[in-house]
Amino acid sequence: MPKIKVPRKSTHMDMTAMCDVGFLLLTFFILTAKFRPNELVEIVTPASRATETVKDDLVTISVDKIGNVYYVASSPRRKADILEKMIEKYGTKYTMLGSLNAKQKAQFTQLEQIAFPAQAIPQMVGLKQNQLKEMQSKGQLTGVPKDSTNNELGDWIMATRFAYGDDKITFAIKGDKTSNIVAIKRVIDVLREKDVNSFKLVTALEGNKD
Amino acid sequence: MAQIDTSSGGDKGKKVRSKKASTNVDMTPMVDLAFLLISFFMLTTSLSKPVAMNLSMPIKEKNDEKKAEIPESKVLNIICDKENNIWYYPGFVAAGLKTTNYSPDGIRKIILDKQKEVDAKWGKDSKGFSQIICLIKLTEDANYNNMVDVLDEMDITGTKVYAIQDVNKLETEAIANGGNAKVQ
Repeated sequence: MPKIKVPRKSTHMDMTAMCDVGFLLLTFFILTAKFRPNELVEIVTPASRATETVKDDLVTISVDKIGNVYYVASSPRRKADILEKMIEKYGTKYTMLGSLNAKQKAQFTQLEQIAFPAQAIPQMVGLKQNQLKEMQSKGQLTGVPKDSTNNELGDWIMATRFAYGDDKITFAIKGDKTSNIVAIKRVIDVLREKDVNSFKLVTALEGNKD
Repeated sequence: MAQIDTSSGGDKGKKVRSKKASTNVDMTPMVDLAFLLISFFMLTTSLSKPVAMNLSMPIKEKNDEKKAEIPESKVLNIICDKENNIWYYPGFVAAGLKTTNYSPDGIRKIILDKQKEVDAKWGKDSKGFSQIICLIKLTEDANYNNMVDVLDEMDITGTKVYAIQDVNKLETEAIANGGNAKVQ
């Protein structure tokens, strides 16, 4: 019986096409990936039907579960201007704040969020985000004061508006699902006091409820 | 032409032959790495990007004199209370409050029913929307999720006129009394 000869084929195959696709996908994901910023407190936003995606240049006022308020202005250049305005206002009252040096001011612009009263800025600017997180977990951060007697939140809003000048500025409120409405209402009231009557509520896409 | 003469004097006329190396490179490690990175970025990319809903509040009036007159029959009051409970009543006087919830059969149906009622009486506005006016009130026990949910319902039902207000005294009493206005 004649044997059937199986022709020997090379085990090498052309991977060029696969490589092409692979790198195309890789490029896509690298370019679109946006890492979640290292947030101080985890805020689980409620879901809504809204479809407008959040832009980066928002000035976000975060309200956590227990009603503490954190002020987040993204652009470092703006933050420097905002700080100058706040120093103008509180520099004489809190002498430590008035005498911030250039290095501390630069550190301030690197802060992810403002989570303490203006008085505490000089001690807080040097801290790393992780150290702040640790303080947060111990309950040592009180957020930005928003009471009517010590309405620093309003001052930050005004300082931000000065810093932006004629440029368009969008405020957003980012609240936790379980945040009490009193804190949210207070933030809305402060915004309205400062003539910010139109703002955004940051929510998650509906369907991603967990 | 402008070529650099690299040949040394002795080999004049002879062509320099470079070795013919195979053009095939072993791409396996590169591909491995590429797919490793792909899987990493695919897994870390957050698919649920945050979105924003717009909220416009009226300009704060220094005095309350310039209040717009609104017909009572267009008004539906929605009061968000604790434990995801909703109280609702039509008109201005808080009496006979009923409860409902946030499900599609709950508050949404009530808003749509009220819209039909308003449409029958007032007709649609020039843009084809119902002329219903929803007054959203949030008690101190409500949470932020409730507020967003109700605002979402406004969007779903196509209610264009709504306002967020404080709970008034009459309503607080009615809620404490299980929905009925206090008997004087």
